[in-house]
Amino acid sequence: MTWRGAALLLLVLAPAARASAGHLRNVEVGQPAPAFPALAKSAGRPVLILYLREGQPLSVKALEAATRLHARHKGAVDFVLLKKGQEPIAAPFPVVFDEGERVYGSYGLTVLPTTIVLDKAHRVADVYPAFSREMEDYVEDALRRARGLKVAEEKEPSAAVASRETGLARKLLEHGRHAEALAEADKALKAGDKTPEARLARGEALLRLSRTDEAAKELEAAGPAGRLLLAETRLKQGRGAEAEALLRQALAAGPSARARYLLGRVHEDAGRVKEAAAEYRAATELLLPK
Amino acid sequence: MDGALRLPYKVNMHIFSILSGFSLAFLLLPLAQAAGAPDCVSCHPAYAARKKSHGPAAVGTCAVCHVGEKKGGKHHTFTLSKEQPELCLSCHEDFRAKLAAVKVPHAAIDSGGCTSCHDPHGSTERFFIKDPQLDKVCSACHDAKTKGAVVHSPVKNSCVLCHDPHGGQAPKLLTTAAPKLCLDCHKDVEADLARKHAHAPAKGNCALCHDAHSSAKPKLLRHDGGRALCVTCHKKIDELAKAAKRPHKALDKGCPACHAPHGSSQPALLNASMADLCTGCHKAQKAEVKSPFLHGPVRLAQCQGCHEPHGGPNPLILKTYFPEPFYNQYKDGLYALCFNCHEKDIAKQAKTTTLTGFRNGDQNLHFVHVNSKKGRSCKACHAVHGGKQQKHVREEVPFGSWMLPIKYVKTPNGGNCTVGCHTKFGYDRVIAVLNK
Repeated sequence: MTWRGAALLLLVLAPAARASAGHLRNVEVGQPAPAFPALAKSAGRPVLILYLREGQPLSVKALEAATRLHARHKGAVDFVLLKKGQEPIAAPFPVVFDEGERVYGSYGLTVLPTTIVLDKAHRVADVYPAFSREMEDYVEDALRRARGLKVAEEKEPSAAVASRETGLARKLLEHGRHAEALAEADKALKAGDKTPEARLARGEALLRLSRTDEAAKELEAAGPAGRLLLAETRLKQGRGAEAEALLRQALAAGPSARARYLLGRVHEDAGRVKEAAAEYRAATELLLPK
Repeated sequence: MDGALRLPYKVNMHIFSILSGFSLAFLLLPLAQAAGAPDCVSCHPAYAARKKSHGPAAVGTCAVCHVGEKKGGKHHTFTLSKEQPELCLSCHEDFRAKLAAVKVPHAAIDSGGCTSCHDPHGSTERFFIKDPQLDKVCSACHDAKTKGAVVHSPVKNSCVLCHDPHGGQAPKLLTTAAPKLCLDCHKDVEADLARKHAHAPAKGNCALCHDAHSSAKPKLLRHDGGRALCVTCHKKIDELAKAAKRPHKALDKGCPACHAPHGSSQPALLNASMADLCTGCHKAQKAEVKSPFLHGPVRLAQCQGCHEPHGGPNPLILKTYFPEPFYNQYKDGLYALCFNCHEKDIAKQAKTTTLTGFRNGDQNLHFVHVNSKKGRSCKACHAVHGGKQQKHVREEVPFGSWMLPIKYVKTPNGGNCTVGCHTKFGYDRVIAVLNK
């Protein structure tokens, strides 16, 4: 692994490690969980231990969250509720009185409630101390990891997001209002929209306004997304061979009625009527409902 | 046009049908006249001379629509050959199916017919719209939507960007139901809504917070976006903030100073992790929260574990009152803030082997520290956010106007502590230390 890979791994693991480490006095994450009788029944299965204090508002909320988690992981994860008091408490999973605070002491709890997730081998996989609105999501992920399931990672937008001006330009193009679309696309680019969509909208507006040389420049900058419009521009400029090359590239990437239609236009311009007719036919067939 | 004429037959015919009437008139007028059509255009030339003329008017086949001529006086009058919209649909067949399929019809079509919006003879505009300013056509029936200081850019002359004037499937004749319609342009918001935590109203209906047409408020908000808008739903937070003896000054900057209105990777839609967000203003705590030994809630970036971010009755906007004096004899409820999470038995049981690691044999040293006339406050020994010593024990302790150093050393079975010029005190959980 390169140093960059290692740094990335550390970065990915950092939040979980930060949240779960050091919350128990006597056992660390990754170490075998101290045994207690109720745990023996769950051999080979992940376990969620919720240790709470009766009547404490945070414990009440933690139990509500654990009940929801139990409903989602029932059958795959064993849940056990531990408490110091002997008052009865309603829970959809076993409730154990921790006599003499043996479990409290053996794990070395410091706060209540505390939620502990054990993996299938009954090693401490994660700890969530006290309660916050983040607890349920956090423990859900921990349980999924303990079960060997995939944990959904939030995807940050990988590329720049098209601006609202670009979106409006696109709408205006759909309505045939090309000059207004151009004005919006200009605004988008001026405001720093660096997405291909912005260049594409400006390029298309210029093309529809017959400003073909400017359109070509813009569509070249838009990359593969601008290929069909650039082909159409080349066709208008009388540069059929370039248009054909672009259209062949587009068709290599997948079927496209518009590419077929434009290819027909290329053939027709070049006097290849039969080939043109074949392409028009192919375009129409692609448009027919399957 | 060259391109269009080379399209397959059906496509070509459609494009041909919507070409400007002027060119059609040029081509077809002689044919119509030769066929013996009444020469309406020689008396009514304006109908055939529009920039964009309706085909029948352009070629003078007026009798397609106008029948039953009645002569009398200076003028002759006609009736329409069919009622609207049937008359229009006799040629514009494609609209028949569309109008039949709409769930939400445009009332104007039933009440005034197509000519509510379209000029049947022609106009300067595409589709023979009656006025070059489309919003004027709409506002003939609808209230003008551009009254506010801030106008949504599509509203300016572009009602049809969002509404389908012929009716549609979505309420209010929208071309697509919100929020998808809005997100077609507002891609930045779409990205926010895809984050882990999305604001439910934003996911459901943008119009709950924003006026789609115009508003007196920035960002087309329905109320002042600083706070008034948010508290229309978040009433409890508003009550809490209003009742707070100790307000959190950040609220003066408005809710968006801390919360992202559309979506966030952070819980409670925070703009950043709570540690980063809070220390953005609370600079003095910035170094503390990066200490090697952190208090649990700080380690979890949960400032709200102890503080009430919307204000409250206690100093430092603590969730529960915490006594300021250094010395306090312990009594129940005194350290409720700490014992909200920690076990209060550590202050009440003189002997334990389970409750705490801070014990000498089974002598509970927390109990020793807090249960006397000069009982110490929790924060006499612990730095509340974090510190450089194990168990976030403070590095210094106040003694009058002096600050005395505390040197705490943790050992495998216990630890020792040297405060100021006192001798070292040690403890061991397995073999109790005999301190002098």
